[in-house]
Amino acid sequence: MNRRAFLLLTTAGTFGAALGVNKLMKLTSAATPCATILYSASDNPAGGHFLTRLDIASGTTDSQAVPFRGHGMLPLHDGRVILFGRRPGFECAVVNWSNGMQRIPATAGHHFDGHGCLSAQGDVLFTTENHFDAKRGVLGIRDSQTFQHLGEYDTFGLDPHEVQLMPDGKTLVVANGGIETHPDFGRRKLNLDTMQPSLVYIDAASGKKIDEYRLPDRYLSIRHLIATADGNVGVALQYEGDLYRQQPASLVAWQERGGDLQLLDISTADVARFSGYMADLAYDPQQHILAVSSPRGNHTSFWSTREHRFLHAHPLPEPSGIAFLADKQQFLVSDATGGIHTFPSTLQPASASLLHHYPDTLWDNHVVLS
Amino acid sequence: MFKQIGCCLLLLPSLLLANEAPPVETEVKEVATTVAPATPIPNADKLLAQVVDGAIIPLYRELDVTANTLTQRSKTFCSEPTAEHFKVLREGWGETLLAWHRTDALMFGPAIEDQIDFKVNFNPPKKAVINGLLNATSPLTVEAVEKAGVGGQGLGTFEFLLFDRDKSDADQLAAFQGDTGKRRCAYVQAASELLQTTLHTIAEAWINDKNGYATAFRTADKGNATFASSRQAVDLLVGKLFQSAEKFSKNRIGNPLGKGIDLNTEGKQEVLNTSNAYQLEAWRSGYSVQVVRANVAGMQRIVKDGGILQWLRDHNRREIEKFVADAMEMRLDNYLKLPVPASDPFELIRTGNSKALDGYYYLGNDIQMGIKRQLAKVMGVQLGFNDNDGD
Repeated sequence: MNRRAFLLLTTAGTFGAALGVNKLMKLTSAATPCATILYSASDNPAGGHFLTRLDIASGTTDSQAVPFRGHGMLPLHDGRVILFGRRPGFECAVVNWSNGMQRIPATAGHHFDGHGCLSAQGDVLFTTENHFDAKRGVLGIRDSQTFQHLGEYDTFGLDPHEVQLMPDGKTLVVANGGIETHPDFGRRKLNLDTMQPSLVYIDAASGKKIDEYRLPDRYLSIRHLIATADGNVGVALQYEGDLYRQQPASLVAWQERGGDLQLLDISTADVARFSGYMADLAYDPQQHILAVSSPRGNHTSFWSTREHRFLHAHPLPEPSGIAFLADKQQFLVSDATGGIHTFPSTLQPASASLLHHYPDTLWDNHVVLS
Repeated sequence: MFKQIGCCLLLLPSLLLANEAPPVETEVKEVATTVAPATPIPNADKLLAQVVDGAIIPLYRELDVTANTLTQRSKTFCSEPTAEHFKVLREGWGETLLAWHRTDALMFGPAIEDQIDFKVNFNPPKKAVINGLLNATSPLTVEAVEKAGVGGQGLGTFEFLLFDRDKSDADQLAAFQGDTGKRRCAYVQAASELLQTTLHTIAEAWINDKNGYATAFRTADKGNATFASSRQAVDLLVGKLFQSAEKFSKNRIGNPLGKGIDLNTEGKQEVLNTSNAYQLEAWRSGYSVQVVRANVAGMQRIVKDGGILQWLRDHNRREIEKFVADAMEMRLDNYLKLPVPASDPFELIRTGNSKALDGYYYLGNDIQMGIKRQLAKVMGVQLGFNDNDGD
């Protein structure tokens, strides 16, 4: 591990603070005031892959073709956007909207797992990766300007999927999905009988594990997360058990800062709507509402983190990415048929409004605002 | 023309089934849903038994026979490596490849247990592993090939050993002759024996019900350790039909041709990307078109001989089911009526003359969309953008 190089990089501030970077990270995008641009991976109906940006107000879109299906995104302070390769992704793309794209290859024996984040200073990029022959989950560490590989940290679990920086600027939180895969076998899940998902906190400067949390049901794969400005963490889960026999106890978990990771309450009848599968999530810090998309269940769901329970869900065909528009007190939801919808953030069930529709832009998995 | 056929077959049932799509409600209603899947499947026991007895077992029985024949031909060739025996061996490999591809929509249960399917057909083969075995001095046995892993065994490896586009047929044959050719022959023999064993394992699981999977599938309606209900078995089967269609329309033809068509806009938009002949399945041997035809021929047997289309006609409750069955049958027939190009598909794409392959792409897409928009819906199976490939 090239920890020394990383320490040098962070302490000496070689590349300086990246002004404004934190505003662009999902951590704070949960409360981004006046976000105007949305980024998302997308496909066209013919199967072509793109990174698309949408001007939310005008509805204008701009797409950059990319050579692979992307997953998560990370806007940089200079206007470029990193599109992380969907697992097993052997490259990421850095899209410069005026000047094409740069490709970041995975290091030998590794593939990207779909997400990444920046250090507090913005000079270091962390990416979730699978060191597949060693059966290790790792965080790749790269210079965020040159993308030179500097080293890696262990994630202390298999299948690290999403990583975010906690608001202390020092701690990384990693969702280890727990599922063993190997690119030789495509996306086949190789260890469902023994999978052990975990939520792990890691010291960003040293790679040392600070804490680790697991859920009672090890078939609940911990895949996506959101860290709030208060240091709480919401988690969207995917159930790998047999849904024809048993529904999971819940599909969303919440961890108050310093507390335990706990499943949010939901009835068996309600959780069945989501087909065992939650994807993206966003948070309204004022009303303590967590919104979570369920593309398989064709529902967008809303949960109270204050009351630790499911609130309501709204049918929507294949909802994908989700974000909170703080200035409008709305959740914005993309869907895989081209729709962009908004939901008012309320404790009571409310109507969805179709904001835009793009029949040739099938929104994929996540959205990020800036 | 191909686009028009697709649109006509899709249009009417799409309208008929419009009410089946998940509604976008303007107001949320708190409706208590039941946990168990709701859609009942009448006569599911007969349907699932017919799928097993009418399609799955015959398809695997044929595959078992071709693998056995391939082993015999490997032995014959290696005992007398003549041009005629080489030709017969290659044909034997091709017959096994196509028999395997006719089971492409059956990638569940015994076919994927312990990732056994990767032992049958791992692509692309690992040249370093294969060359390592060829250049080593230790005996090249079945055990050695098995130990080398999936990248050095199965149909892909076999193709690598038997077909080389950079060499003449005479040079390729010469590689098996003389003292230096003996090791290559030993590899072919060991690989064929191992492949036969692997395929027999899968076939036996269905034919003689080893491990009880066939019985579990047949009797899913009563619930058992493998299937909680017939719904689970039907969802699995239709989901695999869809995945297979996606592979033969997109991965095995669309991507190599570098094209896609937007069926959501009734075929009005076509997107052209970069063609790549190396993305063809079995590009080395030139079997690429036969492979996708085998995929569709297998699918046709599953839905026809396996009784799915007849089941739809017998349960024409909404007067949509029969239409969907007829449309599905027509799609598969139309695909298999496409002419087989006289020229090598790899060369057609490489030289930019791939027009003769377009029909395989358009009608393949039509089958895929027919399964998604019609067959899955009338059978109560939910498929979707993220259904089989979540993240």
